[in-house]
Amino acid sequence: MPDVFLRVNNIYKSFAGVKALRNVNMTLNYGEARCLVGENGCGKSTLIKVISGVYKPDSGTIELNGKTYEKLEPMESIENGIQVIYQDFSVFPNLTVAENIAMNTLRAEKAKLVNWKTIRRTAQEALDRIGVKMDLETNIEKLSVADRQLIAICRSLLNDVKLIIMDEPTTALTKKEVNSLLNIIRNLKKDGISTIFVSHKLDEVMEVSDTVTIMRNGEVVADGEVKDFDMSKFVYYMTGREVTTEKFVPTYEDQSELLRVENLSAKGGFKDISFTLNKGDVFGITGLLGSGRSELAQTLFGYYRATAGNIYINGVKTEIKNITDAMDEHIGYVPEDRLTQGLFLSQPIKINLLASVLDVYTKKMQLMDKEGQQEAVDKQVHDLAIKTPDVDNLVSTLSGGNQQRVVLGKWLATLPQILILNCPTVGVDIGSKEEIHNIIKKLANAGMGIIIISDDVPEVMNTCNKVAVMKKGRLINTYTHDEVTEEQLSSELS
Amino acid sequence: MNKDQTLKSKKTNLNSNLLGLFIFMVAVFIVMGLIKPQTYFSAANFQSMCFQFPEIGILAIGVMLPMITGGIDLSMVGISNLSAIVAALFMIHVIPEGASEGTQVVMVITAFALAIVVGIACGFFNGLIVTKFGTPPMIVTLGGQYLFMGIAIILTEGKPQLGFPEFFQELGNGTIGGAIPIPLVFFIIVAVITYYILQKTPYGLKLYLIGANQKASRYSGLKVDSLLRKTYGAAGLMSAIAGFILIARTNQANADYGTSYTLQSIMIAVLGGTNPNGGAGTVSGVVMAVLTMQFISTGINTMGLSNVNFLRQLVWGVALIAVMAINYFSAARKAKKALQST
Amino acid sequence: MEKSKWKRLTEKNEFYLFFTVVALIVIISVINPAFATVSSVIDILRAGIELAIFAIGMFMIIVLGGIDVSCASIGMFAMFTTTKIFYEAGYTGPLFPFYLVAALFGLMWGLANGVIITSLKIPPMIATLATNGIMTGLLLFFIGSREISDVPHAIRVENKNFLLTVTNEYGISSSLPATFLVLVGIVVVVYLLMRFTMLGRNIYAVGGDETSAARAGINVKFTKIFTYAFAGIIFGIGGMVHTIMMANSNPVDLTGNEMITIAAVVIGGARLTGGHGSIFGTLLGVFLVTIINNSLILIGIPSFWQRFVTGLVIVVGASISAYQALRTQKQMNIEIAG
Repeated sequence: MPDVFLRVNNIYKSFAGVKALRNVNMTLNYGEARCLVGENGCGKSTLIKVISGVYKPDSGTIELNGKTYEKLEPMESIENGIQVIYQDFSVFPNLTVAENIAMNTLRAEKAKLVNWKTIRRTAQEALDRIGVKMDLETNIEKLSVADRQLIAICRSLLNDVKLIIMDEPTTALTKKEVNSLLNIIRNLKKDGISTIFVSHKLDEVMEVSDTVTIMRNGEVVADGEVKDFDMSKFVYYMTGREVTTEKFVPTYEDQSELLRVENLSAKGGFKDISFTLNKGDVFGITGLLGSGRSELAQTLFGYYRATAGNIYINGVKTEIKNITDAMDEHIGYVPEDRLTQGLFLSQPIKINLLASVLDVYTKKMQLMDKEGQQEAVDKQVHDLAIKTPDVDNLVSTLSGGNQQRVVLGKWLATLPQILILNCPTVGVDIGSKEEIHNIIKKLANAGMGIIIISDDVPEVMNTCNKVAVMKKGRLINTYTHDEVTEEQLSSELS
Repeated sequence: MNKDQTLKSKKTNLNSNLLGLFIFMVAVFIVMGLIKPQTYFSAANFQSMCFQFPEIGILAIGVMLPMITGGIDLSMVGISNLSAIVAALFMIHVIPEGASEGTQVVMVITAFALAIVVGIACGFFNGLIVTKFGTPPMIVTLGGQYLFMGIAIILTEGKPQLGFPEFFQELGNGTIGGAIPIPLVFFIIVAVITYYILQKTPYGLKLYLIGANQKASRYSGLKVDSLLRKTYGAAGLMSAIAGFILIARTNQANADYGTSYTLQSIMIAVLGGTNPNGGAGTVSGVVMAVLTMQFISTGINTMGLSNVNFLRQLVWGVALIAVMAINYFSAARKAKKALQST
Repeated sequence: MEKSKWKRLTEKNEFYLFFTVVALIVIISVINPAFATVSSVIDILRAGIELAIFAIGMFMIIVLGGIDVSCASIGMFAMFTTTKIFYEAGYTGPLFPFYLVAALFGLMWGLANGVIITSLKIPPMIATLATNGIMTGLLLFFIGSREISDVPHAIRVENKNFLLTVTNEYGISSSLPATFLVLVGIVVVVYLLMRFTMLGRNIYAVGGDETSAARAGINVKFTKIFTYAFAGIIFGIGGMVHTIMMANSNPVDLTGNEMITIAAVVIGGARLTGGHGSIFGTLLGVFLVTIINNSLILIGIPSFWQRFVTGLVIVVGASISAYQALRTQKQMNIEIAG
């Protein structure tokens, strides 16, 4: 048996002109646990999809068990014993827990027929393996995010699996569940099964991995044994520079109360949330996926309706029943998923920037005021330094960072007094990330109240002057930024 | 690439689809004319064409609106017939025997208003179900087609309604100055107003945004539900206008007239560049598609073969797939080009 | 466990549909006892055979997340072309070749639909709208537009082939035709396919989430083409059944049936967004539509009301399941501590 299970050779891959992978090489031995780290948007997920056959590389080859593939098909990847736990879980919402879990086994066995007893047994065994109890006959669409993630993990633990790739497998899991997952990885290693572990939680990564590949802007920038790296070295390779941790100190003079939330609750979302946001504050709410963080943000924006509790804006009790109410109160919301919730990809940059203020720039007879619109667009492009030759180009031609600025610009055009940002720098390159943070700080210092929802602890520590931890639908602790350390926040999070 | 260049390439890009359609239309016009030039290129033939296409043309412009938002309306013919029947019943039963010209005009205008109200109400009903319950537009309007036609059948007990004032029949068969058919005037008014709304008003732009990404539209604070209700209402309004012209032309109202128009109007809208997934569609494109269709129909008819109208469906089907194929391959080529240019 | 089983049952659309149908039957029977007889049951079964066959083909396509507005045209094309071929050849042999040839025509058009949809990435509604035009054009212009009433012998024989005949007290007899067995056969085959083969489960998976399906190694393109082709076969057979039951082949007979077919499947609980639906539900949907069209008159509702009531059932039925889906989607799903 050869030592090397997987070899990735000189992979290049581009999407619509954006180079996602450049000359990527990686080797993985049997039983090796390798972690793949890098900032968001560095190409980790793309590399994984190339290995799993979902994406075909523009050039380069993949070697599995000594066999070379130029265009690997998903089924070939599966037949070679590769299983992937995707970041978005990739489960089937319309099928039952049992079928979702057993499906990969059946497919790997090339089954033609379905035996429902076997399906239930396979599923039950997989659940037992990670020590989870779940009703096998429930449709996935009724489950919580954490349960879906557990199912995604479960179904990859096949009998003859050779390599398990985990793309951010712990985003929704509690500390206990993460620990049991790490134990599973240790056991797999003993059985000679390889793992590739993608995570931005460095402590997890260091705990289980033997080797590490660090990526930045689509390239591998470092490769070696985990023991040769320490935290600062990791960060240096990931970001390409020594990161300065200068904390945000609000400087806006009138720090009077802007938003006060008292015992806000929403059924199935969160309970008894209370906090205060002053003018010039950047308030960070950090929590796991499924902690209720997004639900809270979206309730403040009127997407969901609160079932109890009060909201005061500038000291006045206010009801936010829908998004229109929120916009009347000058609340803006930059959503979590830029591509599906934030942008109109098939439309020009200009239209994207104007989407929320179309009714503002009108003339008589309901006509659009093209000059007014153009001025508004030019202002945002200038203020946010959006890099484009022409605002009539499609927004899809922009890089992730510039796209995020367009979403931000759309809201700044509405002149908000409160701006809620849900994971504002996901999928944004490191340079843009810092610039977006600077924009946020600048806006706060001009008197805006800003709420940032993020599970990126360093981001929260760097940009916020107040931080709260959200867990299981509750705001468990609120700190000012000098009362708490990054490590403390990270451990409270999960 | 400097700014001027990008701007230029972008603009030509936007118009290239319409230009393609225009060339296609002219080509069809000439080719069809060559079959029997004397008959085809005559004033009488042009006039007769201008009597024929306004109804389907108005329906196609109407169905384009929900399609731009990513929806569809399969109930337009049902709405046409129902609103026409309500107008017909009004004219038959309310207008007194031997009424003066003036009374007739007032009554016909009232009947028109009645048809419009019914049309908007039906469309609004579609929109209400779509937005309140999240029912897919296709199934709502499919059910709507049954409902509206059902009401029309109940009102008429399935019998055709006849006997309209003479003035009314003029609306479907008369001309202005002996040259311009009145139905064509209706069509032009509908086309111009729709063009104005889509291109110049915030409402129009919002329709495209909803079609491009409904979720993002909600998160951008657009009142998506109310916009959609208005859009289905507008489609209902246009159905009513088409139905009104139809009964004026044929001088009778039927509960189940022109059911094949439903799918035809959708086909025309798609041929005219309306994206069935939403986000794109122009009045000028649909107008050209309607004209192209009419040229094909008339040309085939001049062949004088029996059953020749069946051939038309075949040609339309092929044309639709051809257009979609061209769109697909040109999009694929563009994507490839974009890849190479970086 | 027993309780959760019951609870799961109550979450299914078929559950409510079943009781709606039962309630309707009870109401009609109470108002008009003539309805609660074997002969009227047979009449309804007979009236529903054709719609049921088409609906099962459509059910597969809707589970896949597609739609086929050319289904009626496929049926028409298959039945008329087949009848014409055998008619002109002066064929006098047994019936089976009719089904076979009709199924092949159905397969041909189903394949065409599947290939066009997958290779040109055209929305299924538009693609099948186009092929619908092509099929009817080809059929009516090139193959023929005049009905064949002097159908081949085997069809006439099969037309009079009944499984059972019941005569009621008024001396009117109701018969269950042998074509019912064709329906039964299709139901069994499609049930087994959808429930017990990987291919069938792949159809559900593709309808549920296409991206996930591709990642899981499912050949999405093949699954789609297969589904349209298989449904095409069913539509072809459905067309043949129509000709047999009419003892007449009219190339415009089924026009417009695509809409009621889609409606029956949707009433049966399938979601147009794909991934949801069952054969049982589809059959219930067909049953409900058939009762409305055939039996409302028994309780004094004039036949003018049929269309309206059908429309009402479509809108209400589809809206109930859509609203449930909307609520699940809008519901927050967070475990709250304490």
